[in-house]
Amino acid sequence: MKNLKLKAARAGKDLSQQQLADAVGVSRQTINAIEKGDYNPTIKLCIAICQALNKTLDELFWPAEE
Amino acid sequence: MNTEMALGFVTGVLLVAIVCTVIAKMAKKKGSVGRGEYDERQQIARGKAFTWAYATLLIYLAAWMVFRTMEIPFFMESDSVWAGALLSIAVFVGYAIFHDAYFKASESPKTWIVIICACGLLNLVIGIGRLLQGASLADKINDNMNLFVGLLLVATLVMLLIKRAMDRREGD
Repeated sequence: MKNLKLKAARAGKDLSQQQLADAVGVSRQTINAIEKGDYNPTIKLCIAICQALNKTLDELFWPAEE
Repeated sequence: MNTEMALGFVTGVLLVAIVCTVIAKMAKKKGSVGRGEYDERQQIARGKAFTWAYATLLIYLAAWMVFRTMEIPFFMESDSVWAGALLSIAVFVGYAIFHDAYFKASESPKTWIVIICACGLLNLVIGIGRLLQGASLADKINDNMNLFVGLLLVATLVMLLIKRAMDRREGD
């Protein structure tokens, strides 16, 4: 399942995948894989991404209710 | 293995080790290789790559034993075992490259591409040089680790270039 909330939050901060990747210490491809839903990050990486984007875990990683 | 061959083997190994160490030190000083760690997704991908490489080696060795009992010339030589090791390394490298887990997050692929290209060409030139020597074709292929290593490095280079082209097309 694609993580459009993460993509929107990153775009909202005007960050490229590479800039976000550098901020949290992972490769650009890892950020790309998370946004595409190909990889489920650990809670540690989720928190790092939330801190880099000034968002909460709920805002970025909690699935939207149907 | 006679004394001359053993001496040649040891000299070759030492020469390659020295050249690789000098290149790696220079690249590390420049800061383009050896920095940082593999990230969590890359560590998982590399684990899967090791699994595939291990399975490949087991299958190769099983086939190797069958071919050996059939007395197929190539498989009667010790180089055929090394060929299996190189095949499993190729599987690992291929899986890691196409899952973006070959280079560390902060590493520059360009430096590695130059190193792989240089080592690949060096091995291929030595390997092809041996093929052009006077020994019988079977001997040339059986006793030609440089050719195998050169082919592995060229295959690595081709996979890296294909992946780079795929990434460029995909964009951000």
